[in-house]
Amino acid sequence: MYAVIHLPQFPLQAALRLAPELWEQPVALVDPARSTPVVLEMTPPARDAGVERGQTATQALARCTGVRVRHRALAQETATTDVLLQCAYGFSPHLESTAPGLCTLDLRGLSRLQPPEPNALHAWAQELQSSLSAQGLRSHIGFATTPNLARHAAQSGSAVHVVTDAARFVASLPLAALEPSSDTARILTGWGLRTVGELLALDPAELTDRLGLEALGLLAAASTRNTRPLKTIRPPEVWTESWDFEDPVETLEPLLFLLRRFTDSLCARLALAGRAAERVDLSLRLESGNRLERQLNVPEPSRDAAVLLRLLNTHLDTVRSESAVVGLQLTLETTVPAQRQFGLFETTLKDPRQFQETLGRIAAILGSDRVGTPVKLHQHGTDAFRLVPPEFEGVAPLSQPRPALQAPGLRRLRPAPVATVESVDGRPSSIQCPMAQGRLVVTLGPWRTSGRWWETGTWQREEWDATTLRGQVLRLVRQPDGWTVDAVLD
Amino acid sequence: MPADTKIIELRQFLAERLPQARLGMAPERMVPAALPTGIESIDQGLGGGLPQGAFTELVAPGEGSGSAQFIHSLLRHTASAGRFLTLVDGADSLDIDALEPEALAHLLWVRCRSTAEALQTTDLLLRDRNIALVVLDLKLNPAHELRRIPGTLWYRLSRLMEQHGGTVLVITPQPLVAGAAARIVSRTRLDHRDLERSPDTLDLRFETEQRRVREAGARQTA
Repeated sequence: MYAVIHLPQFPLQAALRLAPELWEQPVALVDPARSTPVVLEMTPPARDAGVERGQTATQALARCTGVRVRHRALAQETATTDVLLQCAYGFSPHLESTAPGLCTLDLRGLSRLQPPEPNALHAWAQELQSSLSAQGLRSHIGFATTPNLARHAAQSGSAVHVVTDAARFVASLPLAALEPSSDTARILTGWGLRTVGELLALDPAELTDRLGLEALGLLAAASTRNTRPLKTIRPPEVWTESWDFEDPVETLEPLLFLLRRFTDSLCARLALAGRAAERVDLSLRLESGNRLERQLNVPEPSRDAAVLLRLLNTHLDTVRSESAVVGLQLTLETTVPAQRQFGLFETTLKDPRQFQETLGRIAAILGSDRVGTPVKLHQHGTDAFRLVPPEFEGVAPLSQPRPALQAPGLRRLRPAPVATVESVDGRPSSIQCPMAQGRLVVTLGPWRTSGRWWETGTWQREEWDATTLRGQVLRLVRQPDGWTVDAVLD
Repeated sequence: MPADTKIIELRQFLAERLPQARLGMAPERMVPAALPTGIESIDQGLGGGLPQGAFTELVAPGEGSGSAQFIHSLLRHTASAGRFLTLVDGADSLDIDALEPEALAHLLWVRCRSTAEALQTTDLLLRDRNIALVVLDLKLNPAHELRRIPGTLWYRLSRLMEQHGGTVLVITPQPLVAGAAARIVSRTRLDHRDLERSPDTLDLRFETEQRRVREAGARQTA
């Protein structure tokens, strides 16, 4: 048994997928790539107002002054095909991207559809349709024993069509369903044929004598037994949504409105694929031609649309752009969600979800490299660390406090301010920098260190501890490019 | 409803209905009325430690006031007790090299570059009922930024602490926090000779003042 998902008016669905409210308004889709752009598709209100396929945009506007003319967007059609395949993959692993807006699924091996009872098929189809509907897509689904028949069933106009009597179904199809060439179609119409059943009633040999090889192709397409192997694919793991605004946007609300749709759509697709977002890449295209891009790490991989939206909202609150926004793109980097067994009483966090959200908001304000638990790097040199997400489960208490250095802790200055240091007999004697000026009364040192001399990234430094007249104790560092104040004693 | 959310709700329900069961199963998780700092003079002066659900201010004036050493000691003590500390580092000045990795594993470090960032993130942390102890370190932040902090901000943050049960220690170069339940004033003066000493042998002097929780105005010198 095969199922085919058909997205009617595919180019228009792709153009309106992220703006479903436009289906209630007169909208005409034109192809700007053609020398004379004509209407390809239109919404029902536009059709009711007299807009038809093949009209120019001017003619459509003459018929309906309120019609909104939108350009066909191939990028949106590609993205919609990805959405279709990702949704379908959540229902069957054997799928084929048959044509734009058409996806064929092999249902063999799906235990809940064995045997393929019509009621079970209808229930399955409705689940699939609601999954697509959540993505803003309207679909028709057909079931049959061959891929071609299932395609005809999907394109028959019914929301769900299960072919139970294949011969009768094929016989009732219009000849156009077999997609004959225009010359052949004219000949067949001249013979008075209207349906496939009338064609099949003719003698195949005589039909071939008159129409040539194309007759064999038509008969094969009308066969109720001919099947073909599917060109199965895996849906692309691309989790991107984008939008080009008709008018430049200067405020936050329209961006958040659209981002809510993006996150809802992407998170629903992630749920079907069993994945979670670990990073959010936001790109704003500005009217000036520049782009504002930002990567936001999600502290704990999540497919909760509200969590991702709050992360974006917190970031956008801090964004000031040079000009208005004309385009928006959101891409998720995904991973397999971590599975964690929660104990009933043994946890150090009252609400882990809230904590992750708080971390996400802080990361959006400061940057993801500025919040976390520090881990020292196994390398020589000072102040070498990285931040990792905090882990509150299974961290052993500190058993024997022992300072890492047998010296008091300092306060690091990041970035280290540049200083002008004068030396006498090789020892620093006075300093000029934003935080200290004047004579140095005590100097201890030098302590010399170096590293990576065997490869690129060589470093060498000379450290001095110096006391100013005010009693301020500074850690001065001399490197090949000059002096800096790395830390103060406090 | 996700399974972990169900467990959280069930845990809260059981804790409310059967507090004794929670006591019997996890006594080490019970939260004391005061959070000890591990510095004996301060804990004695404040009646056990930092008062919970309120501000404590550590005024560390001048140079060599020992405030960095205080943060390190507090983190070590917190880590020894198996608890966690959140440091809102107003000037990104924590010295990682002086701390052992096991202590750092109990630290959530928020590296800020300005007073405004530090206050904004503290506000977010106090709205999170998971955070028990926050150290807001403003010692190295510029004086002109500190002067711009409105006094009403501390009262607003106090209300958040009362709602969510957090405890905040604010480290400042001069008295700043209106309505702090306790104040610690550093009388420590470290100099270059202390660089040769072990942190355990440093002469750290703190003066404590309990304001609201205990006897108002009681003053002890350690």
